Amino acid sequence: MVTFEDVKKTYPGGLERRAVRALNGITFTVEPGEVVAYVGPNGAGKTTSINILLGLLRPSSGRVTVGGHLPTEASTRARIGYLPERPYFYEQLSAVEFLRLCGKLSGLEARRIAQRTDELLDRLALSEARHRRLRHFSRGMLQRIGLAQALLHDPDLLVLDEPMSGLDPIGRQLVREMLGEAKTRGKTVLYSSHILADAELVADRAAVLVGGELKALASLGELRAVSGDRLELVLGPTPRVTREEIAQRWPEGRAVGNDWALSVDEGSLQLIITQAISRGARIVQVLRPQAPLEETLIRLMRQSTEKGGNA
Amino acid sequence: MNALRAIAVHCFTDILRSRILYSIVAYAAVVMLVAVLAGEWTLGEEVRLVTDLGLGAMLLFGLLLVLTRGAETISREVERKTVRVMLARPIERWHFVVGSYLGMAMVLLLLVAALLAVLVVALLPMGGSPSWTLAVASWGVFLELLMVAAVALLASNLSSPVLATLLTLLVVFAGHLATGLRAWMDGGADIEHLSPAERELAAAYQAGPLNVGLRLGYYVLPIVAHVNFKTEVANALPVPVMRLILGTAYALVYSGIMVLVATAVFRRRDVS
Repeated sequence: MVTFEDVKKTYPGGLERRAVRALNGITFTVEPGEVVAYVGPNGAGKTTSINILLGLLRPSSGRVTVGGHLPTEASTRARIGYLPERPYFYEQLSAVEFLRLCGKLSGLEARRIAQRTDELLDRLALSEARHRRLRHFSRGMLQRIGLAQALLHDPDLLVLDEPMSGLDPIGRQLVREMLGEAKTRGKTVLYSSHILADAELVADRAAVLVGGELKALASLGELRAVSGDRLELVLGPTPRVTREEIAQRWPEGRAVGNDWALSVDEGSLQLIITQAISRGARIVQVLRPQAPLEETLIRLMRQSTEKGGNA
Repeated sequence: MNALRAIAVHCFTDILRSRILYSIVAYAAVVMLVAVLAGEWTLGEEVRLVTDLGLGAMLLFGLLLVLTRGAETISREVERKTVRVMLARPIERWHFVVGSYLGMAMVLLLLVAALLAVLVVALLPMGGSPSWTLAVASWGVFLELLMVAAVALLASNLSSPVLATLLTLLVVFAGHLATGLRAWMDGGADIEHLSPAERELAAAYQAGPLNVGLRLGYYVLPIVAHVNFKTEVANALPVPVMRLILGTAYALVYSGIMVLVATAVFRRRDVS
């Protein structure tokens, strides 16, 4: 569905600024019906690559296609629904007027626009604000109206740049549900996010971009395996066993208040829990200290920094 | 065509809803009122004075609108990033540029029509009546504003809103001087009073590259004299139909070329 072929982008320098290479030859494919989380730190090149995908920027070299066609062709963009990173919309328009404008620009008929507007405003809990001007919308409401305009023409490909940004937990849950529905209906989703835990809940694969280079593109299971998938097991003392005795048995742990925390991999968790219980220790909690994507991202960023430092 | 119409209507309503337009209409009405009061102090010349001032105010406030909104048509959308939501949809870039221009043109037409109505109402108590020549002069003002809006559109495509405003202002100013510039370039200006050294310099200029450069510049400028019918109206003279047709054609062709260039520039532009 989406193909990036050795895409490079350099922003030209000027009198007071140096040229910046934002993308350094990224290549990957998003298959039809797939949800791909597009993750990376600030300045990694996520938004630049999304802008190229939308035909807003031209790559310095390489090419991007959607369904085999260039995004600079209007007919290609008819298949894309886009939510920008920050919802900069026309503040003087009401929600209904804004969606009407978007619908007309997408070539929808008036009746279809009205029908989709009602559906989406209702689904995104914005019905009561339908005639309110966007300048009076909160950040979360703007994010939701942004999602509505992206979904309005029922596109095959959704390109969402930070869709959870500014949303409260209920809003985030709503967006996750809508993404799940899109996935069920066979839509392709490219989903850029800093909130990696959210990305994990909906994505099939993750593309990790660091410093303008694609560092990893794998299923979440594969990324978990790569990152070791460590868990934190916290054991507590009981009348039968003290913290010091627990610490003597598992000296690689650390003290957390009166308890003792161990870093264990998922495979040996059950064995250690059994041993701890048999020795009389209390299982306080089992935590996933960092989401696997986050762990992977941090590791790849460190590797990238070390590589840069060594070069 | 639907996309073009949607963008033009959006741009039109966007400007209509902005407070700046109301301010401009209000100020223009006040200026015309002042003109009426001033007219009462002049004997026998009330209609001429009010017509003159009214048409001047129409142009001035139209220019104010073009400079405040027209010169930021594209740069504002790019800076606010609202353009991204539009261009991510299945529209061509020229739809956006031409649609924005048409929206501005509709607002200018509405503004000129509204101020013409105010002027006619102001003239009625003085014995003035709605006339064909007054409508023609207002049409000339509209055509001049169309040309300035086209220049502003191109300028807003090339630079920031502030620079675009300054550039447009400069071009408009030069456009008003263009006829005099042409006469000077053609050697029509009186050089008899010049000293021999100055005459030598003038002769060198006539044959030199500066002359060629200025001539090129002349054709780039909007020559507002072609659409300025205010003098005829103020002196109650008829405007020849051919002058009206040629003036209209000139303004439309000039504006068309400017919009075409703006479209070509915007097509190649990165929008991030």
